[in-house]
This record gives sequence, structure tokens and C-alpha cells, in this order.
Amino acid sequence: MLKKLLFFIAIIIAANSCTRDDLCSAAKQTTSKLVIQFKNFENPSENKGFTSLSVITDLGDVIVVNDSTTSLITIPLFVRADITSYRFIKDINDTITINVDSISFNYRRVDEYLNRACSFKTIFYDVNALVVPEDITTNWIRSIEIVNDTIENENEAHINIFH
Amino acid sequence: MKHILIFFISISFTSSFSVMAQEENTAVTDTITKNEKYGLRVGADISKPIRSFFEDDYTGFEIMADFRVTKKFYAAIELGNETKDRFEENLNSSTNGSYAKIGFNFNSYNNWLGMNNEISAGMRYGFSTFKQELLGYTIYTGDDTFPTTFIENPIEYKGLTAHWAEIIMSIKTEIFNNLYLSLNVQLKRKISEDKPENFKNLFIPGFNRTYDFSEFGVGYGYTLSYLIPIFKK
Repeated sequence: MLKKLLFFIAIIIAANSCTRDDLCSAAKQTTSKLVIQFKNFENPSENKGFTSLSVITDLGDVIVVNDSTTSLITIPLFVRADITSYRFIKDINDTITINVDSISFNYRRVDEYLNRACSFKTIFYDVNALVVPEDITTNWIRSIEIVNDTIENENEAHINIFH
Repeated sequence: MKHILIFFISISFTSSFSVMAQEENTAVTDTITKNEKYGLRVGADISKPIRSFFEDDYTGFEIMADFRVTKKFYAAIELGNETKDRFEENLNSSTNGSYAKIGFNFNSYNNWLGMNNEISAGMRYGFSTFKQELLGYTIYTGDDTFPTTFIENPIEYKGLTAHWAEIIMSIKTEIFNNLYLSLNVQLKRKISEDKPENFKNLFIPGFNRTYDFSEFGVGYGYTLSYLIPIFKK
């Protein structure tokens, strides 16, 4: 009986020590980023990349996309405000062809509980994008299409930007 | 009726004294005449007040009672109240509530005549009513583009309940006349619980902390109890 008791205590100590509660698993879908697909304005079914695209936050000037050529990018939305503004810069290293367009993304936020390690995530609803119109130089962004206005995963593009 | 009651109380009162007196006389000379005594045993888990003293984020107490039904079986009950705060980097919460555990112990230890030790296994049905407060949290983004801030927005979830089943193993020894010290370990499994909306029960009074990927829980107790010897043979 005493042996059984010791065995029982050992099981309890083992059960207590190997918990998976400490680390937020990478497999868990936490707060999703905004997925943007760039497309050809002349031919809307065709994806169109860049010679150089950089994306910088208005808040804190953090570079989230640096000198990229791909037609698909993911950028984070700020989880503590209903608006996130970015500068989308074409040809950042070329003083002649450089073109800066500003986009403000506005949305509604809902925080959802995940688990002990990850705590909460934010789901963005009613996402909308506004390009700040320019007078002197023309906007390189021709139009924006919202494909999915709810951002809770990164499986598909939420927004198409035509240029 | 009143007279009968007084009669019984005085009988049990005087008999307990007579047991003590008898033991004092016979302890050295002859152990065989020692009586087998049993009845209602009442006590408290002393580990909980000790934890309350040393841990800032815990307060609790538990009182217990058991009653020998047959030579091996004891009916047992535990009642308690616990408050547990969890302050972590990404999540702060506080839980407070009361619980009851009802069940039995089976003593497998063969005592020599006059000894009153136990090595027992038992089962309990546990029930708790509690409230849980989400005090604050951070949002997991996996990204450091924007500053991470702690959101303090307390939400209280009241009137929550939980049910569980429990296996309890304990060793018990009589340290002084009628005074028992017991150490026990508990393995629990949740049967059902009220889940707070958009949150989770991180702690359940009586059940202790919960786990994200398991319905099991564990516990221990260190109980000091006193036997009121109603019966003796």
C-alpha cells in the first residue's frame, strides 16, 4: 500500500511538471496580420510585384517591408487603436522615381481569449482602407479592393491593391 | 427529548474523559486493555493557512470531518474557501469561492489492538461555487512592430460552478491521544464547469489550478484532526 501511495505521488509530481502551458505554440493562430495582394491595374487578374517596395509605419517609423519585390505582403495592424497608418514607398533608393502613398486602415477590434500562454488575440472586423489623395504627384496606387473585411487568419489576401 | 440529549452528551463527555484516564493508567503496564475507539473526527488542513501566510497571492482554509461507518470505511467531508490571484506577464486574474467534497476513505492498514493509524484510499465528489475576475491582459501578436501594452479592463464572472471526481490517498497517525496528523495527495478530474464567456477558469477552489490541455488536477493536504470518541469497544 505504501508503495502504491509513493507511485501515486510520483504520478502527481510528473503530471504537474510536464505541462504545455508555458509557451505560446507557433501552431496557434494568434493575432493575424493583414495580407495584401498587389495586382496589375491594367490586367486585374494578374499579380504584379515591384522593383522595390518598402512599407513603414506612421507610428514610430518602423520598417515592416524593406526593399521587397514580391506581390504579396503581410503587415500587422495595431491592436490598441482602431486605425493603423502606413507609408507605402515605391523605389525608396531611387531619388527620381520614388513615390510615397499613405494608407490608413480602419477597423473594429474584438479581443478573444486563447489560452494561458498566449493570453488574448485580436480579431479585426469591418476593415477598410483609405489612400490619402495627393495633389502634386500622382498616387501610384490606383484602386483598393477589400476581399475579406474580417481578419482572423492569414490564409488568403484580405485586400487587393491595384497599381 | 431534551433529557435524552443531555444524557447522551454527558455520557460522551464523561466517557471521553474516562478513556483518557484509563489510558494514563494502563499505557505503561498493559496495552491489551486499550479500547478501540471511534466516532466523529473533525479537523482542519493546516497547509492552507501556512500557504496563506507565505504566499501573497493565496488565501484559503479547509475544515474536514470523517466518521467510521464500518471497521474499514469512513464517510468523509471537506469544506473550504480559497482565493487565488494569478499575476503573470501576459495575464492577471483572481478567483474566489467555496467548495465541498463528499466521499469515503477505505483504510487498508491493519492496526494492532489499540493503534489508530491509517493508510487509506478514498474517493470524493467535489463541488465548487466561485467567481473569477479577469484583471488584465496583453494581446499576443508575435510581432514587435507596435508597442505591447497591458490592457487593464477588469471583467468579473460571477456564479460559476464546477464539479469533479477525486481520488485521495492519505496516511494518518495518532500523534497524541485522539489527535491525528494526516498527509494526503489528491488526483482530480473535472466532470463539468461553467465556462466564462471569452475566458477560462484558471483556478477552481478545491480543484486547484486547471490545465489548458487536460481535465485533470492535483492537490495535497496536511490535516490535523481530533477524534470525538462517541463509541468505544
